[in-house]
Amino acid sequence: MFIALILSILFSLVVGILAACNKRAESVIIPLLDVFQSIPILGFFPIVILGIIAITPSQIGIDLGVIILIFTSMAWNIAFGVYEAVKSIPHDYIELSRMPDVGSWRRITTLYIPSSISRIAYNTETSWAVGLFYLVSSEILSLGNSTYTVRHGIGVAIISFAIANDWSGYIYSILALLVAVVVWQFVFLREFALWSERYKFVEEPRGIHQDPLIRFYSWVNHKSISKLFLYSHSKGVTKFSSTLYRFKDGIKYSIIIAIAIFVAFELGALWNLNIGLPAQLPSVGNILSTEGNVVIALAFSFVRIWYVYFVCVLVGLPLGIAVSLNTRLYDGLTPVIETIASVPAPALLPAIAIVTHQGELVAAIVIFLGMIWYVIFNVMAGIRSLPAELFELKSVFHISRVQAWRNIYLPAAATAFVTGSITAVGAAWNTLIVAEYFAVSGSTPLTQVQTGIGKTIAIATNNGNLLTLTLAVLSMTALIVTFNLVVWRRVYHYTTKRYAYNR
Amino acid sequence: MGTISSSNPTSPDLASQAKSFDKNANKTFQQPIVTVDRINLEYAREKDQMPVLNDVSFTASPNQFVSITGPSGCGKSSLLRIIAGLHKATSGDAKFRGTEITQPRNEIAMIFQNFVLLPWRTALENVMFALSSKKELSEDQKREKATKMLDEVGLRGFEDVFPGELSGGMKQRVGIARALALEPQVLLMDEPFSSLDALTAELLRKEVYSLLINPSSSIQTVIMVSHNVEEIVELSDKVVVLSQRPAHVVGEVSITLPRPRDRKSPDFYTWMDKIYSLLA
Amino acid sequence: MTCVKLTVKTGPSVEVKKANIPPTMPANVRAGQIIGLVEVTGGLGSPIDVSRLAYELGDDVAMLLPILDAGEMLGLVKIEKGNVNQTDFGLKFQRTSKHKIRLLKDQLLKIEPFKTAVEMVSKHGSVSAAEVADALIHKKVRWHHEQEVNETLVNGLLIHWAIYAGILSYKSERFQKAT
Repeated sequence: MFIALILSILFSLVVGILAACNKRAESVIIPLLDVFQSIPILGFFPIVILGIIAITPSQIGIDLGVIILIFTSMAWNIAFGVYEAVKSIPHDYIELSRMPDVGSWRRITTLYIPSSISRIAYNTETSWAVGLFYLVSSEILSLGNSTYTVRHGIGVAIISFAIANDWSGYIYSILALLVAVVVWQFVFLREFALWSERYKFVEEPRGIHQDPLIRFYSWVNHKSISKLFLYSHSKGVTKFSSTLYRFKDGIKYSIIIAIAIFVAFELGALWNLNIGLPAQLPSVGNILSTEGNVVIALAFSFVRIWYVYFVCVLVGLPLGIAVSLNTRLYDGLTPVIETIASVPAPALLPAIAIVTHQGELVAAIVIFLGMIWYVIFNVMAGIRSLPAELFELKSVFHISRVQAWRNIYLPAAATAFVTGSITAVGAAWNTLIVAEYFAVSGSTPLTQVQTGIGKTIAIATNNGNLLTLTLAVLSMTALIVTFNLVVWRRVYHYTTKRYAYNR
Repeated sequence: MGTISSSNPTSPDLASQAKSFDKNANKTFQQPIVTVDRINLEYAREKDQMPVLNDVSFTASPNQFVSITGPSGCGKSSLLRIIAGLHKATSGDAKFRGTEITQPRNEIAMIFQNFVLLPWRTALENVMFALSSKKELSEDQKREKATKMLDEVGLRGFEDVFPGELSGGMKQRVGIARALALEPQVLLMDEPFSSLDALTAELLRKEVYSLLINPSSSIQTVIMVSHNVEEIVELSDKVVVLSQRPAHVVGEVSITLPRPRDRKSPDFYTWMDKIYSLLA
Repeated sequence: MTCVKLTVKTGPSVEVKKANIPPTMPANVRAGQIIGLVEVTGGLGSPIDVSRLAYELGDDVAMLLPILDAGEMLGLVKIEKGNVNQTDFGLKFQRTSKHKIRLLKDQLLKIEPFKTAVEMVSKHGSVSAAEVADALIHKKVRWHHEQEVNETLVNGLLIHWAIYAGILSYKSERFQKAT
């Protein structure tokens, strides 16, 4: 985990500073980061692993693969943070650093890096929790295939206990995970955050770092959604993003990525690495029919996500609002919810599978658990960030409860709810890769749905079916990216315009 | 920053205001409208109680403009909230015409420093919001009343505009229109002008004051929390000065300066000094 | 910190007449600032030095310049040799108590974006801020203190001034003839 973190920070500093200083770099880098963020990480895991194995076929290779994966989960977020930090350096400082006797390197070390530190720390906290999720999930995922299993890890432990029917072991390992998370938060991350306060330009209201919920809220926003959409103000990106509204462009980018990966594999084949790519390219007919299956599976998963989302909204939105309005309830329940939420949903898969043998239901529950926290926490943070007087209006004007929900509470939660939804659906895609089909290598599947892209990917990975795997992951990414551009961005803009509370 | 001399003796509206003020002076009677009676306020902390207000008492009479001031954070806003019925005092109480104030009531309205309008509703809808509990009125009647209120604060034509599209001064006007919709007798103001630029604030101060003395408006007393001594001396008949936390009443000043009050006159400065000395 | 070099122009109106470009209302000037400008120049007595005026209003001179431009365009003040004078119209404005802004109606009709907006309303019945912005871009009208003419700029000005002065009415995000 640590290695991934260091790598992420280094990467982010380079990329972030470059993007903030150079307009052309900015117009290329930011959209790229944007796309990378949307790619479901667990989807790419198998491909990355296969690539790594080909180069270093040993245990280290697998661990390396995991590290890279965690890196990808953290890096984009931290990079965005650096970018934002450098962009918001007050002009006077920049003027100062432009003086003739200050060289570029000096400028970087004395101005850009320190000013980024605070953001890095802030984002590290969030990225860490995210990295942990992917760590555990990828460990769990890897168990599906005998050729590349991670040997040691808490994710492995959890599932192994469950498989062996050692339920006390299972519970203990989950508790161990929880304790580790809590301790880690307090010991390391808190200190890091406090140390970095030295590097701030402006005194942030103290409330922000002390309120555990706001910290957690930033955890759930690891996809930097709001930062994503704020970039419209920088000129290079505006011209770029306005064209991105079109459906075609979404497809365009997915195709570019597809080509890039395909090329990489071809090169690999050329250099005689044993990746398992067939000696000749698969026929067009083969590609099309496989893609056909993929599209069907994708459609099923798409629908699955949305009906689970619907349930999440029904449960999460009112709950989130109601808890935030009542301070006592809030103070009491929040730590509990936070703790429960830090268990990655895939870890609970075995328990759920035992309770109910209905594959569809298991998948739905696991996906629900993966999504619900995002909705709840974002809504809670959104409501808590609003001034108390807004809610006092209810008693001042003797508004009925129904009217208060319709006119005050629900609109007030709107922007946070949209942000939460965006992250929740993103998380759902990742979760369903594990939730739709899970089997420890060699044995019968623990759970599976009838049809779904997660199942398609899992089976393709286990069978080494590269064609299906590549097509599946690419199609899924294409769908997600396009959906982000066409739907989420519009919804987000409309909501912030109409419902944001600005003084 | 220099002071704005915006009073112009030949301005016709101020002259007529002075006349109507005399008219009301004859009508003053003894009963105070709001009585604050030995209010104590404490917040519970982990180990002990944190005292905020200590034995605060004062009254507000008809046609009186009362200001409450004190150092930052001394609890002035909390006191106002108790009068508004949003907070409960630990001991002591606030009374409206002899009856204890236990919850918000239509006779007491409030405007806020940060306006607190619903950004997702138009100006008209925001004013109509105040009338939500009036079941006896139809939607059309509420709309009509709200339109009238917006007109009275000078915002005719802005009914369909969202708060985000309004300037600060206009937003506060909507806040005032909303407060007046229920025809309250008491107007509470929590630092109402501190988010506005100097010019807009000055305009609104005059407008609020004319609400008080205008016989056709329902407002009979205004209680304002502010830390701007200049505006306090310009507007108030009575000033209640509070100390640091736990806040008790350091002094009560009755300003007898005749209106219209000139910010540049030496008497004005004398009164300001009086308040400053109590604040120190 | 760099120093700001001060140049007080005699106002854009001279340049405007020469080039025959319609005057444009600076993007961030609001009615309250104009009212204040007139009050202070009237109250302190004309002529008043620009920097003194800025001091009295609590602004720096840089912030004051667009307000002065607007004041001149509206015929309320005149700027000569670094001094600001209240005009007769300005005095009348100061003395009016109710609905001051309505007095400015005629002057506003000569200024963009109001001029184009009113033209479009009489032709089409109603118009949106975006449509007005497009028309202005088409006419190549440029704004002094801003770089870009866009919907937000036009919307802000129309809502604030056109409604206030009774030039246009506003419903469901479109502007129509004033009632």
